[in-house]
Amino acid sequence: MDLFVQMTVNGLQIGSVYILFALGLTLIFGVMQVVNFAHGALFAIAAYTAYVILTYGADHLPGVPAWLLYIGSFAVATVLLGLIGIALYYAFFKRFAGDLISTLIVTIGFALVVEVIVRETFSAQPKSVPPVVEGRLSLLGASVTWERVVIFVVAIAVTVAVAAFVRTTMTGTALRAVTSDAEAAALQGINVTRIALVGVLLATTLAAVAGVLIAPATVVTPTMGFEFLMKGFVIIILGGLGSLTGAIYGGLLVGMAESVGTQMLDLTTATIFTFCVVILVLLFRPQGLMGHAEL
Amino acid sequence: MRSSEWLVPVGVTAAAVVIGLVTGLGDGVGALVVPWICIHALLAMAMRLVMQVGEINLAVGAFYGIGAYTAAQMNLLLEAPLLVSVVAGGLLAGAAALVFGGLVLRVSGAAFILVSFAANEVLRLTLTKTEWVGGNSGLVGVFADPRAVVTAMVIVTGVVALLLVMLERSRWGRQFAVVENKPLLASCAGINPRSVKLIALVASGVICGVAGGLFAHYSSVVAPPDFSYMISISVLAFVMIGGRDHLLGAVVGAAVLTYLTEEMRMFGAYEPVIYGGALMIAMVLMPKGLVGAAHDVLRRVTDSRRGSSSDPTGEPSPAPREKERAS
Repeated sequence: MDLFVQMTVNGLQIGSVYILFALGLTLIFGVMQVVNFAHGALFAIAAYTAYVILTYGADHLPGVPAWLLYIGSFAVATVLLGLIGIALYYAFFKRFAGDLISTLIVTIGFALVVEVIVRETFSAQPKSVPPVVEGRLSLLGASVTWERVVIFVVAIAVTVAVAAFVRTTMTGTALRAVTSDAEAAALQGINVTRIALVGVLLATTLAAVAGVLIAPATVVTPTMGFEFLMKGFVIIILGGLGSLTGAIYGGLLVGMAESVGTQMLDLTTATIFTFCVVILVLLFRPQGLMGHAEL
Repeated sequence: MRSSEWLVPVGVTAAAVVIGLVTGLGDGVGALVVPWICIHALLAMAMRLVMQVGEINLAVGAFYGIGAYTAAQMNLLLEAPLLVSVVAGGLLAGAAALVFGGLVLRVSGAAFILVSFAANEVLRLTLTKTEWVGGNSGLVGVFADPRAVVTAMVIVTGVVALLLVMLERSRWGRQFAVVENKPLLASCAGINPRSVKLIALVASGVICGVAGGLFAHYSSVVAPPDFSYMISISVLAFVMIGGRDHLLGAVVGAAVLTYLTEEMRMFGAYEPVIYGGALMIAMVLMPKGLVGAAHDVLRRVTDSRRGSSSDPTGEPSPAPREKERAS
């Protein structure tokens, strides 16, 4: 029983960050048909932003509480990634609109360059980020750090906010319209360029939140972007490309599978196991759990 | 097709093979880069083969790895001769491609890219966990005569290139083109796009496996990091920077980038920046790649020479791709 609760708690916590990451990936794909390999790089930049701000704060600003620095990291990362996102949009996405291969290739190029810049700036050594919240919480016989509770709560709150934005606001409705059919949306008078830009900014914000959020609970490395990217891909294939609901279910499923797999075996075997599950799902539902795409 | 049309590809390949053998077996920088150019060119041609049916396979590194591990085990356990090991590597990689394609080709486009990317990483992880192929440290001590390996590499690359030129100009090549451009039309004409894609994927897997087998004998060590997603992405860079519209593009891209990487080794671990930066710049400035750009320049020159009398408007002739497919 204790083990079961512990696995569930871990799974929910990992899954909540995966959801944030995958939402950004699937959003950009939905709005612009871009397979965004740069998403992992953006996520890594956010994590390093948190690392820089939190370590600098711990060393040089003893009076400033960690949580304030943490909130500052969110703000800085969001603005930074937003600017990069706008640059990527005008330099590449707009130019290659709808061209799957070209956008795939430039985002791969971008990710490779960022990885090396990060490695040369911070070295390949994994960096641990100073903790923001200390202590552990005991829950139904399971034990979890407060750090991870905060991560879970923030991730879920952001997910709910994104869902509310997409479902209730006018811009969100337009975003969904562009996702399901960009041409028809344009005929309804929706400014597709503006909505695409909204999609990009929403995706970079999600990458920023996910990156800063995960930083204190793990070590940041130059390759963390690619590691998350692979999980993100698995999640959005599982959920259905372009489907926001699918990304949420997919993120939870992969988080749980990883938690159970890690407990029973080890993380590597768990990753292999998760991939096999995805292949199985594709056999019966090639469009993913929540996808409607014609294939 | 007329036999005279074979003069150019056969001539170019023969010249390249001779140059490859002379420089590759010499002492200069050729001895360092020719083996790698051969491996990379084989992988790039395999990548392009699947692109010709409209899919991007980022699991190239996985099939390359299967070929390398198979050939290494053949050499270590059975002491099989070079060619037998390499062929076994190619066949097993082809079989793996058949299974993978059979399961996954029901998705296409973006989903196929993502699944193949993940599959590559999963294979690498599986290799690190499989003790009888050495786990994290891989297999060590594959023995072969280096000169024989280099000779085999150059000749195999030439033969594969010629076979692919033949394929492109055959009935199959035309089916590939239809499946890439108009899959629905292909279905209406009695061509099953999924089977055609599967055939291309298996052929591509065999080529990757052969490249892997040659690599195993050349380096004498195979380990999981050699087969990460980075190799698949580099190979994609070779094809796109060389130019995906021509088979020559894959080879030229592999040769140019491999040579540049070797020359820039003094800059340390900047290899990904070269590939990454080159990819971004090339897509914006030279979307058709080196060979495509050269082709355009060449055509403009010949057009202006001819066009002064017959075509004063300088109207561009039809896209090179369609022209080739028509032949």
